[in-house]
Formats: sequence, C-alpha cells, structure tokens
Amino acid sequence: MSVLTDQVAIGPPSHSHELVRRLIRNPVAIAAITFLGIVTLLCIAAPITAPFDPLHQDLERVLSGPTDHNLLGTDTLGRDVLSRLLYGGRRSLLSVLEGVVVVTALGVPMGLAAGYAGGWVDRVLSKFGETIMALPALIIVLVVLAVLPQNEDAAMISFGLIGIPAILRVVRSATLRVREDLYVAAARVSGLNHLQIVGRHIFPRVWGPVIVQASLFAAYALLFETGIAYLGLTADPSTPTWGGMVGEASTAIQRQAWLLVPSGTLIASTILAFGLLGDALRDAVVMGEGGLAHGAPRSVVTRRDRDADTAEPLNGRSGLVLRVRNLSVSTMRSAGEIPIVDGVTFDVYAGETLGIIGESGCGKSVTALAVLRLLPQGLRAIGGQVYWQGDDLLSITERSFDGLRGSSLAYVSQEPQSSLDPTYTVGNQLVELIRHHQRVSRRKARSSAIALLRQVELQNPNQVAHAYAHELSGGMAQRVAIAFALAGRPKLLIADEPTTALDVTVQAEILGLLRRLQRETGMALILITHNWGVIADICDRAVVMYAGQIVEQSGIQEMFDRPLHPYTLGLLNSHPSLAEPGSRLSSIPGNVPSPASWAPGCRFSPRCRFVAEECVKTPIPLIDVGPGHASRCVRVDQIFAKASA
Amino acid sequence: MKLGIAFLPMVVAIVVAFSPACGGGGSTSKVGSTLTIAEPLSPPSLDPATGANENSDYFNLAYDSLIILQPDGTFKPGLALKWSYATGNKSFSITLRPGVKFSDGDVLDAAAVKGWIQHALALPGGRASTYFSSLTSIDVAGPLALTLNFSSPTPLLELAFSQLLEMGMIGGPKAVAANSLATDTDGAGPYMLDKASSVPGDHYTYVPNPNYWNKGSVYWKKVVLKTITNPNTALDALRTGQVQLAVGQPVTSVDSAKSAGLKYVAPLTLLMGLSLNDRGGTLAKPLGDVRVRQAINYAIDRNAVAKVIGAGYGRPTAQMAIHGDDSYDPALDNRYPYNVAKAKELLAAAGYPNGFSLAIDGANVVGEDTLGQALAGQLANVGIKVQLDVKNDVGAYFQSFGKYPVATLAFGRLPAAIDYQILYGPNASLFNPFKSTNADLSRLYAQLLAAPSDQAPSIARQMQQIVVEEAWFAPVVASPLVDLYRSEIAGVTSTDFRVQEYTTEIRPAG
Amino acid sequence: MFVPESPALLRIVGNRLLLSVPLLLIVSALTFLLEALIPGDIARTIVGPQATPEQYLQLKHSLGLDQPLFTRYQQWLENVVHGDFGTSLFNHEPVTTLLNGRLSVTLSLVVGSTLLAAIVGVLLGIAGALRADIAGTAVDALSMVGLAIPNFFLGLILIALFAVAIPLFPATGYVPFDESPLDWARSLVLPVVALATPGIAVVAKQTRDSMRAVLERPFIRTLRAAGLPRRSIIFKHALRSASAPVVTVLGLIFVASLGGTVVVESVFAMPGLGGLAVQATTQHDLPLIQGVAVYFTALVVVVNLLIDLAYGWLDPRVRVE
Repeated sequence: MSVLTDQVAIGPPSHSHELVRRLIRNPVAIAAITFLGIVTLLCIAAPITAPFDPLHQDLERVLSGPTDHNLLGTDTLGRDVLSRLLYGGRRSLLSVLEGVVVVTALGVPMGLAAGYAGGWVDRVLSKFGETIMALPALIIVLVVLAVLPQNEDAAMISFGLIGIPAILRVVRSATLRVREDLYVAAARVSGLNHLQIVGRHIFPRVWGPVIVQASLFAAYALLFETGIAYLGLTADPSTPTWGGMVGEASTAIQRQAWLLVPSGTLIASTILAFGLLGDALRDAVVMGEGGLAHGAPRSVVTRRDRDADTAEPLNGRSGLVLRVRNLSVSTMRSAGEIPIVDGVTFDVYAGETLGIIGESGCGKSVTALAVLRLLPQGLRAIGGQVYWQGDDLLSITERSFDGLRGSSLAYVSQEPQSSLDPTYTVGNQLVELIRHHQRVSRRKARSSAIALLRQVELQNPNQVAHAYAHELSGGMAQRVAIAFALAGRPKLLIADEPTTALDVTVQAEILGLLRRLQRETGMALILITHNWGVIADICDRAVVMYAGQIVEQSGIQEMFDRPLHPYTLGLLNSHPSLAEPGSRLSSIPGNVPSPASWAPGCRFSPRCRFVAEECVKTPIPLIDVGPGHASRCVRVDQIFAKASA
Repeated sequence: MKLGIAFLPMVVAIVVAFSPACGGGGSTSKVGSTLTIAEPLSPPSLDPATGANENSDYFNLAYDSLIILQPDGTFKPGLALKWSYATGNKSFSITLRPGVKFSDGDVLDAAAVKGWIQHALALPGGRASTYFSSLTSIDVAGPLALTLNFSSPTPLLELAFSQLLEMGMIGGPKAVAANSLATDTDGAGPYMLDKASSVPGDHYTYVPNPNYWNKGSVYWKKVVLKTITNPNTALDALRTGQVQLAVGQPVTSVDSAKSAGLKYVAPLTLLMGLSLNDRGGTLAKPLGDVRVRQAINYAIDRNAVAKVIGAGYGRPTAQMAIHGDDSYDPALDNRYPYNVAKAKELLAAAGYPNGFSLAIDGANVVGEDTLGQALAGQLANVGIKVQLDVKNDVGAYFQSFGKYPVATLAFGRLPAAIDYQILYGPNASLFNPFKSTNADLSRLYAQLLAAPSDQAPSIARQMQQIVVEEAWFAPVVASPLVDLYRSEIAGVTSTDFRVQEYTTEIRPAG
Repeated sequence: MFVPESPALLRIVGNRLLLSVPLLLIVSALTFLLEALIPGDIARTIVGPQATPEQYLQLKHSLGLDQPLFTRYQQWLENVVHGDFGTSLFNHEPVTTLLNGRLSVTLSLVVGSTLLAAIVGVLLGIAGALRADIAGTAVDALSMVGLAIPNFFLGLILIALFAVAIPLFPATGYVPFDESPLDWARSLVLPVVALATPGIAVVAKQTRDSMRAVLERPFIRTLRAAGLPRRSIIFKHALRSASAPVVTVLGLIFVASLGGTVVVESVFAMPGLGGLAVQATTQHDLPLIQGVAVYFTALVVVVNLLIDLAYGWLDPRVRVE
C-alpha cells in the first residue's frame, strides 16, 4: 500500500485555499474530482436519474445487451443495469464513506496522540497498530460476516478498523516531525494547553497527508467491497450494489459477457479516480515546500548563448587545466526561469589553488556543480563554456563526460558523513572505486585502498576500511571523502566548503592535508568557502562572488592588501580577525538579494555606501584593474584612490 | 529504452519454455486411461451408509449396490440376485450373489450385509433411520440369504437398497469394525480409493479394484473426482480437456457448453418453488386461508419464471412431482393457470384486496435466491410485498425455517411415501415447522405403506391431489442440474425415471 | 555478510518470537469466541435437509458440539500443545493433514506473487525514477490501473486469453512440485500474475518514490562525481538505501496476498489455504477454522521476522540501534 511511504511531506501550514489552487492546476486532479463528483451526484439523485425501478423485473428481457429500452442492458432477471448502477452507487459509496470515516476518525486522533504524547502512549498505540497489521484483513472480515451475515455496514466498519494502523503511522510520523518545531515549543511557553497546541499548530500541518491517505483508502475500500460481494457474502441479492453486480455478472459471464462491463468499468474507474486524486493531493502538499514547478526537466545542456567576450585564444600559460567562460545557470521557479549564476569566468592551473568566496546564496556551489554537470533537478546551465583540454565540457555527451569523472575531475562536498553510502563499509566503496578506475584485482585494489587511506593521514586505515560512515567522526569521514575523490587520480579537485562542518582544530588538519596532497600529486584545486581564514590559509588566487556574479578576482596577497570592490572591502572589514581590536565590528547593512530581485545595474548597489547614479542603471562589466586583478565596480578609481591610501 | 531491450530475451525465453510441448494443457487426460470428473462438492464422508445422495459419485465408484435402478425405472440384480416382500410389506428377503469379494479380500455374505445395516443405523446423522425406522430384526438364513423384519409396513426397500438411496452399498466388515469408512473405501465396486494421490477436499483418485467380481465393466485405469465449486472454472476445465465430465452444473452453463462443442444431459433433479409452511396462519395470518395460498399459485407465471430459472431446459410444474415420480398426476398441471385477475379476486374474497407483507426465508444455492427474487417480482403484481432474506449458509437457512411463514424450496424428487415423511407429513419437523396436518393425507399414507408396489402410484396420486388442492406449496419449475461432457466419453444417461448418471456406466466413446 | 555477534539483531528476533506466543493465543481465542456467536452449525450442513431431528442431534452429539464452549477451547489448547490440531468436523481428516496438504499451494502462490511483485515492481519503479516525468507519470497511472482491477476479474480474463483461446497454460488446478516441476510452474503462472498485479503496482510506486528521494541524497552525488558507472550507482548503492520502505511494502503485500488467495484459488480451482478458510468459515468447521487462523498468523509472524532480518542486513545502522 503506498500509504506506507515514510517520506511524509510536511510543509508550512497548508492553507486550504493554497492547496486548492495548486490542485486546480493539476489536470489529473481536475479530471478525478469531476468524475467523482458527477458519479456521486448522479447516484445520490438516483430516484430522479434512474430510468427504472432497480427491483423491477422484466422476465422477457433477461440478459440483453445494450438496447434502446435499456441503455446498459439487463441482468439475469431482466432488471435495468443503469438503474441498478445508480442505486447501487448509493450503497457502495456509503460503504466507502463508512470505511473512510472509521479509519480517519479513529486513526487520526490515535496518530496525533502517539506522536505528540510519546512515551507509553506511543508504545501502546504502536504495538496495537502492529498487531492489527499482522492480521489478514479478509479473514477478519470473513469472521465478522459469519457472525453478522450479509451485514455490509459491519464489514466496512471492520475494514476501516483494520486500516487504522496505516493512517496511525503516517499521522504519527508527521506529528513527530512537527512536534519539535520551534513554534510549537513557543506555543507551550506561551501557555497553550496540549489540546490547543494539537488543534491549532499540529493538526493544520498534518491534515495534508491525512487527506492523501483518506483518498487512497477510499480506493481500497471500494476494491474490498467488490471482493466480498464477489464472494457472495453481502446483501440480499435484490438490493443492487456495484460489487454485487459484478458478482452476479461473473456467474453469467458465459451467457452475456457484456454484463461485466458496466459495473466492472465503473468500479475500476472510480477506484482509479480515488487513487489519482490521492496522488495529486500528495503532489500538491509536497509542492507547499520548495518552489520547484511540477515537471521540471532534468538539467540538460541547451544551445550555447554566444557572448561577446568569448573570443579568447586558448593558448596561455602552460598548465592550464580548466577554463570557464561566461557560465550561467538558471532555475525553474513557478514564475518562470531565473538566472542564479551569471557570466562566471575564471581559469585554473595545475598545482594551484583557486578559492571561490562569497556568502550563502551567491552561487558559488552552483557554479561548481555546473562545471561537474551535477546540477540538481530544476537547475540548468544556460550559457557559457567550460574548457577542459580543448573540449567544452558542457557540450560533450553524457557518456564522454562520465569518463572524466573521478579520473580528471573530482569533488568533495560539505557534509562528510552524508556523502558516504551508509549501507556499505568505507573500504567496500573505496575498493569499488579503485577497481572501476584502475581495473586491478580485488586484492590489489584492497591494498591500494589502504594506501590511499594512509595517504589522507588516517591513523588506522584497516579499522577505518571496515567501518561504516556513521561510525566515523567528522574529520575522519572527510578524509575518507577526500580519499574517494583521489581514487581516480584526478587532475582537478573541487572542494565545496570541505571544512565548514568540522571542528576548528580538524579544519586546520584537513586544509593542511589538501595542501600536502596537492603538492604530492600536482593537481589543481578549487576551494569554495565563505571563510577568509581558509582562503588565506591555502589559496593562491581567489574569486569573490556576489549575487551570481564574480565581483572581484586576484591573487591572494593582492586581495588582502588591496581589495578593489566595495563588497570585498566590506567582507574583509567585518571579519573578526581582521578588525581593529577594541573597535566596533562593522557589518554590511542589508541582506543578500534573491535572484528575483537583482538590481538591473550593480547588484550590490542597494547596500553599497559608495553608490552613485552610474551604478544603478546598466549592468556592470568585469574590468581589469591591475595585473591578474579584476573588479566589477565602475567607481573603482574614485573609491579606492582613497582606500588604498 | 535500455531496460526494455534487456527484458525482451527473458520474455521470449519464458514463452518458449512454457509453450505446450504437444497437445493441450491436460497431460493427464488420455482417453481410456484417466477419467476426470468435476464435482461441485466434496463429500463430508466417503461412507455410503450416510445415505448422502448428493455425493453418490464418490460412493458409486467403490461400492456396488444390492439392487440396481435402471434408466427406465425398473430394477436389476446387483450384489443381490433375488429379493421379495412378504404381503403387507412387513418383511423383505434377499438372496445374495455368490463369489463377490470386497477390495480388502473379504467375502460378501449375509453376515456382512447384516453388519452393514447395523452400522448404517448406528451412524450418527445417517439416513438409515429414516428408511429402516421400524426394523425389528435381521434373520440370517444362510451364507447368502437374509430377511429383514419390520414392525410397521415399510415399502420402497428396492429403492432404498439401490444406488439411489444407497443403503445397499455394502462395505467390508473389517472396515466397518475399524470405523475407517469416512476417509477410505472398502467396497465391492469396480474401483477403490487411492488415498496417497488424493487431497481431501480437492480431489479423490480411484484405481481399479483387483477383487472386483465384474471385471469386464471396468472402463478406466484411473478415475479422479475433482472438486470445482466455481461453474466458470468447471467450464474452462472442460474446454481445455482437463476434465471430461462436469456434474451438477447450473443450467445456465449449457448454452456456452454447446457452443464449445460439449454435450450435455439435463436431468430434472430439483423441484423448485415456495414452501407455504405457515398454513395455519400463525406468523402470517393471510396464509391461514386456502384462498390466499391458491391466489399465490395463480399469481405466478410459471412459464416465464421457468424460462429464466431453467434457462430453457427446465419444465414448469404446478405440483411437487413430475413425470417419472409415483405421485405425478398430469391433470394437476393445469390446476392453477397463470391468472393475475383471478389471484386478486381470491385475495379480495379472503379479505386482502390490497395485498399484504410476506417474509420469505431464502437459500443461496442452486439458484434459489434468483427464484426468490423472480417470485417476489411476480407476487408484487398482486399486491403481496415480499421481504426476501437470503441466507448465505444452508445451515442458517434451515435453522430459520420456523421463523418465516414461507421459504424458498429446492427439493429432490422422491416417492410419495418418503415425501410424506420428510417434506409435508406431520413428523417432517424440518420442512413442516408449523406441523400442518390433514386427516385424508394421514389415512392415505397408512394405506400407501402397506400397499404392494403396483398399487402404490394411484394412492400416491391421490395424496398429491390433496396437497395441490390445499396449495400447501407454490411449485414453479422442475429444474435441471446439468452434466456437461466431452464427446470422448459415453454412458452419461439421465431419464425421468432415473435422473442421475451412474458413474460406473461411463466409458470411452466409440 | 551477517554480523552474528550483533546483539541487537538477536534481540529483535527473540522479541518477535516471544511476542508471537501471546499473539497466537489471542487469535485462537478470538476465533473460538467469534465462532461461537455464529448462527448455524456444521451438523446441519453435514446431515442435510432430509435428515430427521434425531439424526441431526445424533450427529451433533458425536461431533461434541453440545459441550460448553470453554471446555471445547480448553480441550483444543491441550491438544495443540501436543501438536494435535484435531480433525475436521466436516470430513474427519486430521486438520494438520488438510492444512499441510494445502500449505504448499498457498505458499507457492503467495511467495511467487510477492517475488514477481518485487522483481517487476522494483524494475518498473527504477525505470520510473530515472526517466523524466512523462515516464514517471506513466508508471503512476499504470500502477493505479493495476491496483484498480479486481483480481478475480483479471483471473477470468487471463484464463479466457491464455488458457482457453491460446492454450498456453492450464485453466485450473495445481500440480505438485514433486509430480512435475515444469507442470507445477505452468499451473502457477496465471494465478500468480493475477495475484501479483496490484502488488506490482504498489511496489513500483513505492520504489519510485524511495529511489527518487535517495537519488537526491548527497552520497549519490559523491559517487557520481567519483566516477562510478550509473548501473552500479543505481543498483548497488541507491537501491540498497531505498529498499527499507520497499521491504516493508513487500511484507504487507505478502499479508494482503494471503487474503487475495481466497478469491484467486476459487477462480483457478486450486486447493489452497484461502479456499479452505472460506469453506471452513461458511461450514462452521471449528477445528479447521482454528487451524487456518493459527497457520495464517504463524505465516505472518515468520514474514515479519524475515523483514526485520532484512532490515538488519540492508541497513547497518539498524544493527546498532
């Protein structure tokens, strides 16, 4: 049952009109709701809509196919199929309603109680749920029907009871996730009692998954009702129900196969509609968080947007490893496609470390992922080139690029433990990587793996090799991740905030390790960070990014001595270790703008204390302001004539 | 799609592996070697002494009976060579066939038959006590001769000792003593049970009895009785040749069977209609008036309902008997022709011009529920509003008999004497829950018991006339339970005098 | 690759086995109790309509049905402890014989359909997770349709197409494995497909959802960046992390299939536990009902146990918790 997925989507409180609006945009949901609505209305109004009395027998017209007289034919006693479907819908839909009401009326409060109260309440309820889940539903209902023969209400209520554990579990895990939220704690502090908290804060965020489950359960309830009717366990046979009609049709299948079609199709369609509605509801609830539009295509490379300054010859210093020109990346929002990285250009040489620094949201990680063609769903590169040994990486085939992964370009990310597969030992994964890159025997690969672990300065490589990711400390895991990256002996390693998640002492060790490895292997290193200390520690050159653009790039020493962009200046001034002791720590006023609100001119202008009229109207290009030093500020001369003094 | 292409060779391989090597799906159905019969029920017991006629196929294969009922209604010797009544029907003598052995090797003699009858009487729930209710003693006169003595006249013993009522299907004394007959066979019939290759409740395999006295009439190397409750499934099994004969099938399968090239016999096995039990008007006052009961009979269009229930193979009837039964009187068929006006007239005369409500106990087997619904529709036309309660379980249906004024009925065809005992006599406690009595009927019954067999039918007819005139029932149709079979076999016979096929007569065709 | 010295795993297994005892007790007591409330009884069914009341009462007494309920339950419990489940009231066969004879049929059906659902469902789910949303929606829609078709309907269609029209497979019946492995397999194809179809749908959906979630996780990106081939990432790494919810679902499919066999066994005339369960219930054959209930519960306990073990194997973190 798909009701069991533990991936329960919780969004901010789903305001019902928002949910409805999202639902309306989904054509499948519209179709399902319309279908269900029409069927329900027609059935409720059966006394008006049905052409015949459902019990009226016409023994002369037994088992006819569709005719003028009986649009959908007649059954074994000459009764009109259409009329019986309409009246039967009342019974069948009522049965579905009974099941759904029981399962939600009992399952939701139980789930809320289990998730919110925790402790023994949770244990008891969970055990209860597990026990019920262990019982085969059909057998239980068979026994109930044997005690209360032909009592369809009893059968459906029992079915509802049996369905409780699934909803209980979903509501419980949803409640658990919400319970820890800050504003729930705040509500406690502000004196609301438990019931109010549950009612006002928890339930609104949980009812989304509940209606998803309810819709899916409705599908199952109808399916179940058909099954027990087929077994002949319900109803006085005169009274029409959909399932009963299918059961009757199956006895007549040899004489009039058509009879199976109207009831069978209606049931299957209704079940389908409930199920599709449930899916659509789930999508609508999920979309409450994140802004990704439904159906965003995978990141594919599109036609190149030729830019003015790409006509740069590829000859340059020897040892050029990577040349990025005008790289732009966009994202799909519900409003449309928005650029988040804009015209990024830089080079990287063998043996050197390039730092990319900026605040969160400036696009530095996205740039790295674009180079590696690892952009997540919804993002895609829309312009520029990335040259590697003469080829534009953005336009070669997927297959060719895969050949470069690990062996030419490698990647280390921010969270060391979550970047390792938790279900295999470290050694297992490393051996796999080595064997993929080097085609050696397993034994050779194992010893290479140990050597690699030693190379990243792990004290007990054997022990580590037999460990799982969750058994390692942050520092050890990051070293392992670096070993993974080195397994293919890459020429370029991109490290995205490799030390951010680690303790300060460990940070220094990791950086030292990287520097040493670079010297040993001669590979190029791109280091992405928001920390000037890291830049200062091991980078040779640096690039500052703001709002998707490079605003300054230069050699390290130069950047510290002579920053030539107001943003860089601001950043350096607000760094604690660079500040004047005893004086007030300065900070840059305002906030980093979101891509939707980037200014047409200089994107930093709203926060810049040097802003002038020339800054705000037209886009600012990146200008050379010295040897190997560029800045995206039109007022460089005016501003920094003073500052450099 | 890479994934799709990878699948294709797998699919091809599977199809190739499972294509039939040669012939059809039934590898066990070579003609002459194995006969497979689809039965709608499994037997609760394999012991013929239970008298459970609905399981006769299971008994017939392993047990020859003393007397054999033939398709024309006459009797011929089986395990008994001669038999006769003394005058007054109070004693019955049997002479046995010599040289007959049971499948375990024991010899059939008068002592074995006596032991057998005692076993049948002692069996809890067995029907022997119906047929031998006044048995006083069994005299063994010689190794092959015995006489039964009764305190009251007991007619119909030839029938009782035939394969129809099964009391003469003698089992071996060793098995009787060991009490094993419920789950295994020990008879003097052509076959015996092969327990090792049987699964109780699913299929029962019979192999030839090495000790059988009449070897020339064993037609198969193996006979399998397979339980298939779903008629669609049975039909499919016939079509694919997995079974050669399906018995007890609903009449609604006949047309599809015919178009699949199968053959059929449609024995009129069941008399179906309503049992108007509450003739005294206890629960439903209107029924106490014979005019109301007669009105019900007039209100039913037997031809139309028979067409639906019998699917064209049934026979409408206005009495609880048809041609071939001893109490059948052709004149009675027209006693209640379909006449809605007349029905309403009678109802008005009885004081119910606007009709009344009537609760009916229904069973859901052999189409009784469909019949009930059809009749409810008919009665609605004269203002009788029927509340039909169909019970899912036959046991519940029987238990509720006394709680409803009327019940749907599907009764077997029996001689009048037995009908009186079981169906409508004052001691028929199940089917006559309100204990209706009729002095003339009682008088005639006493005469019937003592009458010689050639005089019995006229007495029986008189009894039927009374039952019909008093409208104790509303019979509607004699309905068949059909046997469908493939043309590879022959010997599936059914007549008005002997409705059921006799399994041992089935042989390969041609 | 077990970690037998892991105490957590042993504790889980032990727990479950211990819990199963009270569970079985509860189930058997409940069934007994409910049975007692059921109107109608088996003596009437056996003895038939043409029996006299004396005959009926005789049979009832011989079956022990006139004894008080609690006595009968006690007696049953005592016998069960000695391994004796009694005999069927209906046909006097020992309950264990009846059940064991049919167990292999039902197991073949249920295990076969769970396997089919697992293999086909997982493959479909992976396909749906990898392709862009058109194929993903197609998987969803097909899943829903597969769920919506009643299994007896599907069974009848399969028989009509692949047994009658094109005689590829037998229409009915079950051939025991030791009689002929090939015929055994052939007799299972159609009923297993009918039984597995909704399961395939559910597994495909769950796999797709789980895989999609896992493919977003950082370690996938790491492995990809490090150059591992796609096949290895999907089938070795992603699938393993995605498998826990799928395994849960498979367990539930197994239990649901137990119920589904009731109908499928009727359509295909197979001598399994499902059909026996319905028959026993409608006939009020109490020892048989009890036997079936206990067998079913035991099966479910075993399956849940296997799932727990599977979790432990799949996710090493569970072994420590």
